[in-house]
Amino acid sequence: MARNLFKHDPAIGYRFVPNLKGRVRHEGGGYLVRSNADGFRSDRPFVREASDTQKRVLFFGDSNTAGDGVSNGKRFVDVIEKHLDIAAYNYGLPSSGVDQQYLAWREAGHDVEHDLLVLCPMVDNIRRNLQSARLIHSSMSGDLVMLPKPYFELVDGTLTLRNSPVPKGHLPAPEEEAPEDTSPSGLRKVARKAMGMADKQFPGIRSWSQRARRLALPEAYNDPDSEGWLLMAAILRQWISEAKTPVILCPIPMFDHISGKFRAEPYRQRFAELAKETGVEFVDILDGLRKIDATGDAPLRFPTDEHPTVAGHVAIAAQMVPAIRKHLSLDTKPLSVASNS
Amino acid sequence: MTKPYILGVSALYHDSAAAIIHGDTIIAAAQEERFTRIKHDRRFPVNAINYCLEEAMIDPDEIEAIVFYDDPVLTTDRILKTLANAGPAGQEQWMTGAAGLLAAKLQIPRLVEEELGMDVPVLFTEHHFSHAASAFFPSPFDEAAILTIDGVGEWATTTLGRGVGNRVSIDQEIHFPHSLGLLYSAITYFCGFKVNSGEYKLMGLAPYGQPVYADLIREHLIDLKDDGSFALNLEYFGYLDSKVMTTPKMDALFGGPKREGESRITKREMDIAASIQVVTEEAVLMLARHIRKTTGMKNLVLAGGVALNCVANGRLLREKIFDNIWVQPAAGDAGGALGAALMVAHHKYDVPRSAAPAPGADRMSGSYLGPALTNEEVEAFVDFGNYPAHRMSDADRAKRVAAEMAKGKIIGWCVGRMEYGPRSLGARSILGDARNPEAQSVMNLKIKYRESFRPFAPAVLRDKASEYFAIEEESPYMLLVAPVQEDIRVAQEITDAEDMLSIVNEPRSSIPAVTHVDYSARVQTVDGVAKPDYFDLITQFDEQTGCAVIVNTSFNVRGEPIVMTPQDAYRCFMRTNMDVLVVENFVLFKDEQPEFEDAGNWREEFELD
Repeated sequence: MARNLFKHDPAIGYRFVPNLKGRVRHEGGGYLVRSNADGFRSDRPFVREASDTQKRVLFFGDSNTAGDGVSNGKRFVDVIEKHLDIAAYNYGLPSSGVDQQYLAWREAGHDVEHDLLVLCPMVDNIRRNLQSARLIHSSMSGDLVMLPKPYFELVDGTLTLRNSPVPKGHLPAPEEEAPEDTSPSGLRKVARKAMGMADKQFPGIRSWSQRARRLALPEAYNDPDSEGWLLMAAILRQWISEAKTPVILCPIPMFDHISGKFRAEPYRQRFAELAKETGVEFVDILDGLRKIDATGDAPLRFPTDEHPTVAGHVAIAAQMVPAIRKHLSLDTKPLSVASNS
Repeated sequence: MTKPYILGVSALYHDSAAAIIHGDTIIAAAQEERFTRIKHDRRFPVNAINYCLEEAMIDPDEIEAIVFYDDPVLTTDRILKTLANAGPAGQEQWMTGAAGLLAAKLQIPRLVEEELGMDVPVLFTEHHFSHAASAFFPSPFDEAAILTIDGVGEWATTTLGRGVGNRVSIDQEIHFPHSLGLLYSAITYFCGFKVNSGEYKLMGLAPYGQPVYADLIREHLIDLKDDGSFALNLEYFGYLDSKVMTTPKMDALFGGPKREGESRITKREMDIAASIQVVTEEAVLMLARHIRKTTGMKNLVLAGGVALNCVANGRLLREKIFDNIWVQPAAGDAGGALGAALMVAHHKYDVPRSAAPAPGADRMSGSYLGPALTNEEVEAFVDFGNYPAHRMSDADRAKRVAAEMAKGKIIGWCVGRMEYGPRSLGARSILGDARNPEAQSVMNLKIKYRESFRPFAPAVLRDKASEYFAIEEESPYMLLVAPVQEDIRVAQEITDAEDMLSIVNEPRSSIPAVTHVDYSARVQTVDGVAKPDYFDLITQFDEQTGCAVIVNTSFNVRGEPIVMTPQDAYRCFMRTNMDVLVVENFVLFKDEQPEFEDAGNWREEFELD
């Protein structure tokens, strides 16, 4: 049984147990987790007043930003902090939707003086925004359970917060894990089941098929009027409107986007449109990651776990550094991937 | 070079564990069973390793070496030769047991790489060197004679050596199959308890009996020589060529077959226990006298499973063969993880031995080397479960809990870093009022769900220990048995009862809950340095009641590993008749808790040892 990493938070759903010192076993060899007094995975305290000597940048995102799989100090936020000599505040919250990331900003980041706000939604977070509970492995028991979360609904075009305060406790896990994307038709369910059976018989056939079909997943990005995108866009629009500093919008692609298995154009288009509409900078790191993935020696992701390795974090950091440097008017060199991986 | 981080591992026999040191500073050590909740878990200790890296806050690439506590090649040699000598009778045992174990041991480097995701250098030491290192290096002594006694390592079962500065050496060995540990384990088995875990029950049973079989044991089972060496009569032991510990000759020797587990314990078992205890003590004393003579040293350190026999340790102390004695609190195989790491640090990397933290103090930090909980973690737990809890300052907690104990309440106490080794020393303990004559049976039958004869240990303020017990020395690790002072004893009628239950609950002193049937007690002395929270609690109890002694037993139920997390502690608290649970600065009262929903028949979850 591992140490429990999270505590209930009525506004966000959960956050890290404050002042935690833990280590998580993992296929990459395990990783160290430290949290600060505010309950975020950071070695540094989050100070409200601005510093005279260091620029301060706030990062929000999910487990990719929080750094599941790698130790504190080795995540892309840490790499950027070190390279640019800035104070990087990491508010990443594993398994969260953009709804929770926005609520974390409202609860814990809004009043912290800073120079730049970097939003790093993982592309797949669009599905989580629609959920009122997340299927997780309880860090207390190891069991699969449903953890309630806050979520928004669009009511007459207005964001309306639900499940707030977030109820305590776990809900029983469903008999079968929820399907990966929303509401497949009956025929597609059958096809998916058949493909699953075929993949067991001939490992890799599902992946080959997806690559061949160049699916555009998650599907919600395909239609600007889809429920998922309307909600995602509304949350981000609200967030950006409340920001007091310049904002960078830097979606983190899925590895299936990097490998080319999933078509990325829909999500890139949606975020680009939103950035243009709201006047923030859209930092598209996909091409850079694809290039490093194709030429680099070290794998960017773990074999099974779909999170970035240390090399993956360095690669992500390298793609973000130019935009952050520009916003902060810093005179530093580009980040070399080779020297940090 | 800078001080290396070295990770020690003991595994794949019983009581797997890991320990990490930095230079020769012990950073962390823990047994795997506490994490997996499987008693005596023997699997590769992935969780304990994870914890060690957590406590050190290092990544695997910062580890200089990982040291396994024994040498699988030598173990293979011993097993192959033993089975070759056993002939066809031993083949099944080889095929079903030893081969799989060895295959695993030979793959330690692969297991390490799988767990840590990288190729860390893996070194091997020898089993009894690990024990010797665990006994000497953390001890308070600059030099000492070293005695290790256990079941079996690779070949050695008993070693006599010495430690000086940052070196240990072994001068003499007694080899398998002649083993004091295996003799004790065979009798444990014969009396119906589990091998490698029920030995301490046999020790606790001994005072109920008379050593009427001692001569029989000396005559038929073990040949004790004047120089401390010994040889077993292998006709009585089955461990060479079968899956059982004893042969039918043992049945004949003791007048009938072995006792079956959980059946009634009869006078025969009590007398056998008393007899083997006497013979074991004789063997230990003879070894001690011999090593004193050959080394000329005035200090003795001990490790190996037999060193957990605190009755023998107490006898050794009283005989004054050595001026000073120190016993490694994790004397069993779990302690081998620490010894292996220390052995390599000093012998391979020539790490100098650092000064003791204080004159006469050891380097074990009270054996509080396991995980601690933070108040934030506990708060997260009670908040998530909506468990009513009261957060108190250290001072208020001591005062309130002492008052509850004085009212006869039983306390679950989960405060500070968990103990390394088999004993609960006030970090994961169930506590009660030693003056309460019913405490022993209540704690045994309604909380621990174990045999009623099992004695409980006293925890006493160090400066007041001699008011209650005939002991002048410190005993922080509960590894010394001392007599209860005569002036607080209550005379009892000597009976020759067949049924021990009739004598278990007889009050024998003013602290009956911790006074064994022979007026002995397994004493833990407590000071304010190693464990201030525990010291403050007993001090408060003393101030409120005039008694500086409390009852301390491990925080678990029968057959369950000692609790580690708030979840473990709360579950155990709610399943049993404990009244109060203390987890760090949070105090929970049973009568305030919501109804506890528990899945399955948990009483069948854990077997008796």
